[in-house]
Amino acid sequence: MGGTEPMSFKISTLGENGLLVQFGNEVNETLNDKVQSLQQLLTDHPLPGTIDLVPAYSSLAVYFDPAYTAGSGTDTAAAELEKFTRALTTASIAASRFISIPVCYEPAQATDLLAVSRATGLTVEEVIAIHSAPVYRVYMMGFLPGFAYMGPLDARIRLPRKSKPARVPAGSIAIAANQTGIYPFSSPGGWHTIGRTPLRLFDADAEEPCSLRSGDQVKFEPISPEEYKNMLQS
Amino acid sequence: MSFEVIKAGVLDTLQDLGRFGYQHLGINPGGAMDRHALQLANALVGNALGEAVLEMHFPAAAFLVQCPALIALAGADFDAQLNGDPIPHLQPVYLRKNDLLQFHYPRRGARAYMAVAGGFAASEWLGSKSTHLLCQRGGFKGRALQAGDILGTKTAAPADPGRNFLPWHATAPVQKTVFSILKGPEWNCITDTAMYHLLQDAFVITRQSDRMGYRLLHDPLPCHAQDEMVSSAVDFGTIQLLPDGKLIILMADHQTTGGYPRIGHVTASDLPSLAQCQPGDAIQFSLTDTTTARNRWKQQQHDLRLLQNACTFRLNQ
Repeated sequence: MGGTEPMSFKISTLGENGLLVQFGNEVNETLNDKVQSLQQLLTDHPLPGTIDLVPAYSSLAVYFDPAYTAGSGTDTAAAELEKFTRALTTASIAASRFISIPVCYEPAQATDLLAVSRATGLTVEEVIAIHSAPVYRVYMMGFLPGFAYMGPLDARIRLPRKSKPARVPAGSIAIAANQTGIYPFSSPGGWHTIGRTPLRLFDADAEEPCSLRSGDQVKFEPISPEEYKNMLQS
Repeated sequence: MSFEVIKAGVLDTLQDLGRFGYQHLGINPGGAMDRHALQLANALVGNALGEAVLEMHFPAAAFLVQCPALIALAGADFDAQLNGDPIPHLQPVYLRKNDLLQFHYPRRGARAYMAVAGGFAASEWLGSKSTHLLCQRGGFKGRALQAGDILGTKTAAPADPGRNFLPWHATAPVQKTVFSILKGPEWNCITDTAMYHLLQDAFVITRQSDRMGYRLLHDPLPCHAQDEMVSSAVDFGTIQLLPDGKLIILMADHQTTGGYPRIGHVTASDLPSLAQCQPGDAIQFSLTDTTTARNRWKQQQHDLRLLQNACTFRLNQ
């Protein structure tokens, strides 16, 4: 990682008030490194008129104040953005944080655990071992406040999203395709729930409302139902 | 404190122009559906254009006025009545203690906006007073108004003018049925035939429509075979193509990112009119360019500022 290399990317408009930088269309660590570098750069040196940044797997959107856009500011911004992106090196990413997330992998806490076991042909113990083994990268936040998209997921436990979303309780750990995530809020969801964390990943009144952010390295640590209950109460 | 909610509406929340700067955490910006009506109502009572206002759906709340207040209503016309007598839309109205404000009939439009001179007392979360229902923050205690709530104002009302309405009003914006769109990043996903239909056919807004988005009813639009899209940013007005070939227009409560192709975006100057459309309404799309879209928005904002200047001047007299 680090050093300059020919940067392949595309910049297009996203409505009147947005610019979208696309490095590709895949879940890929190298592409995501570029997104995070660009996010870092644009946070440290904001383009005039910027009101929001939306980094994703392999793209980053910059939103501008409509008053700025109406003054044709995004034409200048597009040129600046191109310059920044071209000059990007991935050496500038801040060091990742390592976060450990306790998870109770029990059917009582996760309605899809048994179904995942059946669908993958693995025992529940194997599913748990496979899911909790790696350290996952948080690729991006989206879908819900504080929802972290993490991956890559071991091929043995990859399943397509559910065709019919179901109600997912807050704190649920879920998997779909090549990804895993945690629902900070109860929500309808199409991912398969396999565990639940007693941690509160979103605190609206905290200085930093979300416990996770893109770039974090996350490890899931299995805990017992008793430990789960104790951690909930504290 | 100014307004006691004596009957709750189906969804009455305080909203401003949205909460920006936190989408990288998945915190969606929200804000008023009809940002033009929000600004219009504020201009009429001499507020800053972006002041938080009450956004109401029908059936709307009924209010017992506890302290004098100068208000203006914009957006949808819900046949507002004060003590049983109709009050005008788009004109400042002076409310006095024990007045009863009710909304009788959804004459036109889907979201009504009420601004109060001086602004509503609202809690700010992450720089915005918009109500974030999921996070339960911002606006009035982070939730919709309920019976028994007392909605306050930040300042006392101007002096009683001795009459019920102040003698100026704004013109109602024309309701559109054809909405200008800009091409989205995945515009070329759809076939030429689909592009033709997109710009010719009528699309009906289904009942599966709300502040988050409008699902449309129409013949499926064919698209080229392609790799599934990984999640990427979406905005208020983004038109997504769902796997079944149907479209959804993302509205004020859109999520920050989405995994469906972004075919286009409804322009900012057309979104206010779209926000007033209801399930059952048929709409059409027409393609425009960024320069035209920006100029239309600039013109709208220019007119709002003129109105604001005129109203502020008269209020200070």
